[in-house]
Amino acid sequence: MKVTIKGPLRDTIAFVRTLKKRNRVFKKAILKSLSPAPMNLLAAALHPREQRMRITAVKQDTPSTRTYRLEPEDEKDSLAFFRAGQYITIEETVEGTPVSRPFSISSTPDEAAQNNFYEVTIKTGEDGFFAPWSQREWQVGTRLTCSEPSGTFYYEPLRDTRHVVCLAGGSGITPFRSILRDSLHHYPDVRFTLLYGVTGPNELIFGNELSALQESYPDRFSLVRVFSEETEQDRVHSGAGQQNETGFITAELIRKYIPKRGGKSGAKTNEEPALPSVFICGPPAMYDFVSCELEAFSLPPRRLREENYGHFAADPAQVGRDNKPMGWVITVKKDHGSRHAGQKKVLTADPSETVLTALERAGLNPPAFCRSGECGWCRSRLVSGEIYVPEENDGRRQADLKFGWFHPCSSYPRSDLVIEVPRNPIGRRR
Amino acid sequence: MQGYNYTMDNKYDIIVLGAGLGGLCAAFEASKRGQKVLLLERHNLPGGFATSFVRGRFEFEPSLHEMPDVSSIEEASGVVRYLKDEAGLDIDFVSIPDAYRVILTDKNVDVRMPFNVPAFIDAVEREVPGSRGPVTAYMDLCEEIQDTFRYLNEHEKDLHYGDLLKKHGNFIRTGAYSAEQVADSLKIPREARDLIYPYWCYLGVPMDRMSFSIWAALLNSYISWGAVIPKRRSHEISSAFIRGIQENGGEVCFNTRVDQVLTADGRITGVETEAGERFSCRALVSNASPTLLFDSLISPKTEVPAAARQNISSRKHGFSLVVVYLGLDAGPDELGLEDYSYFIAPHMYTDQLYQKIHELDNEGIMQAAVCLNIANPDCSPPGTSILALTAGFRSEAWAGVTPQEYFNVKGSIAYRLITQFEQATGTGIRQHIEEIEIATPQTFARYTGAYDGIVYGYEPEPWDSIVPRALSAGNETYFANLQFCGGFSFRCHGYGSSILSGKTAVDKTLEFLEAQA
Repeated sequence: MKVTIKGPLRDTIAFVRTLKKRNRVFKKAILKSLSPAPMNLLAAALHPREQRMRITAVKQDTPSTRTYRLEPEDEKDSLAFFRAGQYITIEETVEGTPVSRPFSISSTPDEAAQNNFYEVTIKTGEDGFFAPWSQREWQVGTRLTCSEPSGTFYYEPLRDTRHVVCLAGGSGITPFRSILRDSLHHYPDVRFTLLYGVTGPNELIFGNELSALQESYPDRFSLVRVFSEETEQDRVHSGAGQQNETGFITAELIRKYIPKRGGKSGAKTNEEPALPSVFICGPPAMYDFVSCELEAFSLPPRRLREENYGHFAADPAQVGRDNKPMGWVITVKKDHGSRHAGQKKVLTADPSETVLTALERAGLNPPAFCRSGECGWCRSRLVSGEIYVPEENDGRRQADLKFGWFHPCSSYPRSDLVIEVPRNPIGRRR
Repeated sequence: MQGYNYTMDNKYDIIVLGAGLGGLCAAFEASKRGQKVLLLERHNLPGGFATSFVRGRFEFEPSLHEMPDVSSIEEASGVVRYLKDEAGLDIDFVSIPDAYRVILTDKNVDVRMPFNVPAFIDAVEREVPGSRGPVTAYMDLCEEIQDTFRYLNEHEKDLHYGDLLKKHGNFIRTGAYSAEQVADSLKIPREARDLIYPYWCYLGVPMDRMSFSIWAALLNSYISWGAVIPKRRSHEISSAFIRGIQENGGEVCFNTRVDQVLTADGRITGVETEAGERFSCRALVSNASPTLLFDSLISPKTEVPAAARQNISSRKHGFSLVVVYLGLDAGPDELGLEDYSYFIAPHMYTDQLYQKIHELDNEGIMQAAVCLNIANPDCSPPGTSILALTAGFRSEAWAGVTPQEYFNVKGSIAYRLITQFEQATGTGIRQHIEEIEIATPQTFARYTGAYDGIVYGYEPEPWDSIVPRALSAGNETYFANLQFCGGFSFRCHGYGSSILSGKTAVDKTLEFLEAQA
């Protein structure tokens, strides 16, 4: 079949003329500078490769907890905006060892946008290495390099219920300080109940702030302080919307503060599901305890959000199995090519530490953000050897499993390893 | 920096800038053919848009909807055959059952379109009685255009007009026209076009401006061959390439952004990374677009010929996307999702649909939805499903969005896309959302570095479609040792084109290097 559009000859000429048209279009071009394009600028503003900061204020919240205010080292820079509940990874060199730690931003996104600061809150005792060191070393004027904000522990109106139950333990209050202040302000149809577990009144971080917040939003924010030690709690304010409890965050306690369906009017609100979204942040012991207690509610996974930055429980039976007294040998090929085996670095790993920690302890500078196996920023190639990855921290992609890539931050050596680690693009030391 | 300071050799035969699909293929081909190759990638993952990400129990496919499957057709050439047979990469593919379901909410159209040309024509005839004749002629013509492309591929090096004119007259005679003009000429009824046109969004140009040739090849390859996806998301394709490159002795550096492409005397001499390392090369294959290279990467800027700047200033950049990725806590059966691919729009007037994507708050945009589990049941745990809703957006529409507005803006677009999907399909998905991520042009800019977060390359209008690009390649080579690959190169955008463009770029580079030697 012969197809013609405007006539055989005209069509053929038109075809040849497409090239002429092309040249004509080019000739008529008005030269303009195209870069940087708006979306690349927006990406750079929201997700800078690194942020150089200095500490501008230090506040002692409790005997063991400090809040540091961070502002850009260069006042002309703007800190990246974020979603309340996200964390930044701070890169530091501790006693000669390069380490990075994720910390929830405890200040609000609005404060970053309007006043150009983040706050991070660090408690000693939960991290035996970094936290005490930071308390000794960090002061006003200290310079730090940190990552862009990241993480998925935030209130998402398209997913989460209009009533949210927050379960915080100890320093796990930090992301909630941001989430509560931000969401109460920006989501007028959302209610929050915070069950905040600490040992005693002295350990309450942001105690006064949370009370004040409750008084500002009496209908939408219920504050329940849960003291595990039965002492002196009388001196902590309690009243409408603010309660004190003794013990732990048990199923019984949670049930007491989850309102019945339908609200006071008794009117059926089909919109509101029976079970609220539950957000959890706290030390590992609290996760284990609260997870068991929550089983009574049969929460579907969509109703459960957890932040566990780096705290995860590996199965002791798996870690250190076939423990070699001297530890496992990890051979790090420095790049992804196969030609530079001569430049490899060999180190010894304690079987009870993650591959990432072993790399850092050996003075290497691997990329790392979440330290939970989730974000994949440390993704590296396992050339040979066997690793153990706790199931709940196995965020590997299916093709990575197939082709031998792994996340050092959530992997324990089980044999000698040969690995390739990508460079860390964040300039840590200056 | 201490620790992993790369102390690589700094001299290479070929440096490949960017590990998107084109760059991966180029690095693979060049290393396979014994070249000393360095592949530099700014992100910590290969693939560009061809990757994956994990949220909770779900691993999402960021961009691929489907690739035409040539494995069933003996004489066909195409990307899947290249990956499997020629490159010999270890990729598991799964088939997609039907072509698509098109739902046009203002026109009361809801039709499931099958693969296989006769079945496709039957489906159109059932909905639009009397259309069989013209639609059959149309599909035949599309097949013929596809044949000509195969001929062009085979005669890339010895192509001349006379031969083309004699043997492939229909290709020539339709080559200057838009897809709409050809459909007019063949008297395809409007209602039939409603069913045939949904794939327009894979190319992103309205039918009255879209080169008929490229459209015909796309439509024919899907409908006559069927389609596949990799079992482990498109990260499987990218990872397979990386393994191949490493086995061939090529070097790959992730987290390594190239800030400058160095030139001297009209030649590319090497690159400089953000860390300040310099690598020299005999030739560069760029997966970064001509726009990025000629506007900002080449140094010194005075080395960029005026013609190169005219080129990138006059071509129309394609559109970007918003994608809503949903991990749902119910299986497809429970949700009532029966189809892999849904095209949902109020109507199929593509010029109007295209107009809509210049602003962020328009109702009645078109979306392409994919339920991965229908083709790939094991992609998520039992009792869950993965659904991705995609809509085109011009990046300019986002230009005024501030960081503070950004999360709300994308949230409200996601809300509208979810609502549109639920209303069109009569399903309820929002109460099952366990994980949600929303990608925008900003997201694509962030992860790939693409100019303005653009997902597609230059718009393939008749004057800027594959054939004019190929025929102009000689004129438009501004640096003799520079070739482009990826969605902005001569094959236009899409997975298959991007991958195969890497091979062509290496063919041409080796030709150049051999001529030098």
